[in-house]
Amino acid sequence: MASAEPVRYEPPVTPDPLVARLRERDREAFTTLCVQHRDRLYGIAWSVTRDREEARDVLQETLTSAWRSIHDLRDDVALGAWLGRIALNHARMRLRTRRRKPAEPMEDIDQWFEADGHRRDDVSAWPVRADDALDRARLAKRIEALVERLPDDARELWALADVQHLSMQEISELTGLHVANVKTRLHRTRLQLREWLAADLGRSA
Amino acid sequence: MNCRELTERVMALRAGDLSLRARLALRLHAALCDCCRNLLSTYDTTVAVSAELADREIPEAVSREFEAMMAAAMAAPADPLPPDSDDSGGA
Repeated sequence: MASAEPVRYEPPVTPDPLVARLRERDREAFTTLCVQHRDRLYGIAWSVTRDREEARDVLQETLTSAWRSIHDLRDDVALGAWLGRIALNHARMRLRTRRRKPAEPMEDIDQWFEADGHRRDDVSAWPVRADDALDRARLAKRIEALVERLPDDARELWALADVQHLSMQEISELTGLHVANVKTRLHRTRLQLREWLAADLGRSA
Repeated sequence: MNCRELTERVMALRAGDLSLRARLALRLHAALCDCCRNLLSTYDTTVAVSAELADREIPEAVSREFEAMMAAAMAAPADPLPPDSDDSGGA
């Protein structure tokens, strides 16, 4: 899957020449834009919905929403981030509609530690080998099930950062969260997933 | 340095966001604490295995259909975005 050019998320220093053409609803310019960002948009849609059919629908909805509002683009728009936000909003709507059971609350980190900062319970090594393909596939399946327990916002950060491998800056552009906030929340999400995974592995050991 | 401080800084450590002094303190604690060594390795495994859940390729069907998807999008009339997508691309 080859994008024409790397996707840019930072606000452009000079206005993108494509913007003026897009505002005129130039079909060729829109096609160029869509082709350039196709894979990234699909990636956002898929990592958040984790469903190929829904990701396809989100991609279609994203293109349609973008075309409908394209005459409103501002000169300083970062086109990649703008499209990414549209895709993320549509993916969020899909997720909200299909959520089967309520998310579980994230544990309070305080409960893991004594007052002096030492770990309250033992943190064991896992009975899996990280370099073993079968073990990793088994773990991946468990993680996939466990992320369904996460609150939507935490699940979304995990999907964008750890599955889709977007940078903290890109996620900040997409979600509107400050980079520091993205990092803090993502770290809490990873720790929670690790705890659930450890409990899960402990039960099945 | 204690277990809690280490736990709170794992991501910063892995992202290279810590000073040399903080990194050394963290590594010294991990060298002496089984729990924290295990936490570091299982945290890393959790992150590494998550990456394997990516759909590495856009599905062939979507790829084939993309031109039709763009055409369908461009058949839509001009209209503002829904209220919760209320940005027109401003930074």
